Amino acid sequence: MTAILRLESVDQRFGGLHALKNVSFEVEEGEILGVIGPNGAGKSTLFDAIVGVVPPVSGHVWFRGEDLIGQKVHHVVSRGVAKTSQTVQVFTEMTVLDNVAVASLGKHKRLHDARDAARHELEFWGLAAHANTQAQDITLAQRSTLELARAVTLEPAVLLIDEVMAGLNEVEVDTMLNRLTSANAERNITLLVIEHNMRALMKISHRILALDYGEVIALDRPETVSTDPRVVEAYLGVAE
Amino acid sequence: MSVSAEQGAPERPSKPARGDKVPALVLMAVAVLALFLAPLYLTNEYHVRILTLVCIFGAASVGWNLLGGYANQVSLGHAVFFGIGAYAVVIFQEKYELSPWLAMPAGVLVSVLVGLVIGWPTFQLSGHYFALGTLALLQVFHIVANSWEGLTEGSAGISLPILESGIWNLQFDGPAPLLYISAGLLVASLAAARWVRYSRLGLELDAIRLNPQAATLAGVDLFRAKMKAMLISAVIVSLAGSVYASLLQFLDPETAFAWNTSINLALFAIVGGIRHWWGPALGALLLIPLAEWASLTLTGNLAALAQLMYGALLVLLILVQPRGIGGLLDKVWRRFTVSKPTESKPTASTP
Amino acid sequence: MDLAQSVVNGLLIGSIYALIAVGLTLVFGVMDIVNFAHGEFLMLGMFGGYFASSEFGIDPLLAAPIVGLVVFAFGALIERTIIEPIIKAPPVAQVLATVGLGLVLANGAAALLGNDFRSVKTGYQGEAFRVFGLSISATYLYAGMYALVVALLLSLFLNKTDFGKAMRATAQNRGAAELMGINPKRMYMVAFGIGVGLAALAGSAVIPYALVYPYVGQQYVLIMFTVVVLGGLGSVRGAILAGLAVGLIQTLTTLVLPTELQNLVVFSVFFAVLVLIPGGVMRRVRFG
Repeated sequence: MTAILRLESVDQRFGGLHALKNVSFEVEEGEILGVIGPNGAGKSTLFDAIVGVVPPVSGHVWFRGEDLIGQKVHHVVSRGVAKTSQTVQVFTEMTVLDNVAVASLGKHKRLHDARDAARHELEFWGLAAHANTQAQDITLAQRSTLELARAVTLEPAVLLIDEVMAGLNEVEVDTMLNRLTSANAERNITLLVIEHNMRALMKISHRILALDYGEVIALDRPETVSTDPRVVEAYLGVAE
Repeated sequence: MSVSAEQGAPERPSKPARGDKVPALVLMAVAVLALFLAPLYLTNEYHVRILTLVCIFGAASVGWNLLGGYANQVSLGHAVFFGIGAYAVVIFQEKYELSPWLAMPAGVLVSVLVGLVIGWPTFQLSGHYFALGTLALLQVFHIVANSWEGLTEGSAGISLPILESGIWNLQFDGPAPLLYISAGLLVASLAAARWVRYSRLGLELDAIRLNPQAATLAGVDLFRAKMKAMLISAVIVSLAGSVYASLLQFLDPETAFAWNTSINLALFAIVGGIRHWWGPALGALLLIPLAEWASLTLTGNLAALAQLMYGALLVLLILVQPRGIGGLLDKVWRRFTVSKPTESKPTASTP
Repeated sequence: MDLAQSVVNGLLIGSIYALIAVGLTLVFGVMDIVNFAHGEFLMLGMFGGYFASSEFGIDPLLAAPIVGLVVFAFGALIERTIIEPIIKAPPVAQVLATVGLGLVLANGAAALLGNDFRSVKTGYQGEAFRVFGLSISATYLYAGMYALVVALLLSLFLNKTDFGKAMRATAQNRGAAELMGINPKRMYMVAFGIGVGLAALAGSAVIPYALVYPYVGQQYVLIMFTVVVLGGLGSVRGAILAGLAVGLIQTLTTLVLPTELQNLVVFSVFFAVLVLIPGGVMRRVRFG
């Protein structure tokens, strides 16, 4: 399995806070990599650094032979690495359809075609019925899915997903898991998933990356990571 | 603006239902027709002149709104493009005896270049820097116009010589022809604004307005989109300035690069509705006659009162009705055509 | 000696710019609002100093703190009524609302007081101190010293008092500050009040050597925004350094170029900063 994304010594500081400490790891093509860690571990910061929303102080992010560091976000995103945000970011006064259409503009010259492609995408995510509703009028969970749909429309090779299951009930979580697995397997999107819902994450991830205080403390298969003493300690304090 | 569909929406093609398209077009067509017929029943030349001003500043404000209303980029220096277009005409005509029709493209070219120069650094920074940068730009052009006497005759200004009447010189015996020309400009700018609104660019600008960071994550090149809007805007405003110079037959730095012009462009848009392509024109239609009346009745110290009321109007609108008249009309329209679907909150089984 | 003279004058003038700009940048730092009416509060201060002198015979420099306080209170009121509602509003709304406010203030003054240019007469105008062969105008010197003192006091306030620290905290992270029990609304009121109060104070200190008229705020607009951008929006220290720098740029350019063009040079610097150093000089220095 080839590495589709390779982080090399990514370091991030905010004033006195050392948010990411020399983070290095590889993401294998086609995998679902779960990202866990207590609050403040640097998970979202890591995603922001990869895509360029908040560029890191130093380090490299290798993707298809290019270093993503230093590139503008919209470049990174159209090159193939997309991201959703922890706090749901949608275009509130736009229709659900247009929310997604914005992202398809890159791949379709005509607005008409972009909207068609968007409608298609909405069907995959179960939002087609709300295509003409304004994004501010749908539920939070739907908006979360909408943001995901928008990111997927970009046809990224790698998708960074930040807490998309917050607020979903059991049934919705299962639906989402199915969709994510489908996106990964059938549409060839490598996923990095930050999620607090452990059960869900362990279910679909091929590997798990564990962060604590900005450092990588584990990167292995779910069963191994969940019993790793460092990981347990990070979440629960000293392991029993 | 789009109309919310009810549950189980009928399968429309990819265009979302846009209920407001037709009425707006119809109203515009009626208004334009009225404009063109105006000189026939308005015998008072002064009134025709006011209408001409409405067209000129309406067009300019429509241009301003491509950035201000569509994309939330407030330019406080749009008077720069206005002044450039105006100076192009007076300089070409007075110094080189060239027709304004040749001056206009020159003015547009310079304006576009200036737009590129000011946009390049400021669009990459937060919105505040854009407002500040454009403000500084206006001040600078003012200084340059005052100092570069070789080109602009400095603060004394340039008066156009009286030439042979006709369309080539844009000098006429009556006020009607200029009204037609400015009305034509207004129509063209409205068409451009409407086109942008419903185009790819319009969607991008809307995304930028609503959430710049999400827009960038959606692959929108913010800089490019803003720059496109800026350049279209610069063209429109420059042409408006050119027509203005032909109307006044005189120009000085005070008139060309006026802070008031910058404010007015924004004010008309806010009053009429910044979220609509026709909003600024409506604002100009309402406020310019009012301003003319005010300048006639309020003189001396009281002249400042008119400006004060503008300022107060601006503040009040922002606090109470930032969407302007267009926003009010939106609310009314929605009341009459839409039932907000309460069923859009899904149950767990929503696929 | 011309050069040295220019340098001294530039620093003195610049210190006043610094004072004016500090208020503007403070408001931005704490509230994320660029107050386009800032120049009008300067104008109010200038008129305050003028009337203190012409009506009550009080030296404008002595009256300055009182003028500053009055405008502080006025500013707090404005903040409550006009600014507070637009803090969360999009930039279009913020910019235009403060622009409108500026219009109201400037034209209100014009309607009430007329358009005339006014100046004060103080005993020490025209006096100069001879130091090391340089002639330092008394009005400049007093204004400069004033600015220095106020800057020090402000610095003490922001760094040593609880309230000042709370204000800095709110500037850095409103949410966290709220969780710490800081009332952001009160912070905003005070910050805005201080911001415009400082401008008014500077105005009163400046009136011995400047002319006042209702639209004078516009004259200072380019300068103050240049200073703020040069120093980095939100950085008090940056505003002070940048203010001095701009004062120097102005006086040094008049050595080689005609006076009307001095602002052109200032603008070029402004532009260069915008292009080369996003966020101002201080930003680079602070975050590396």
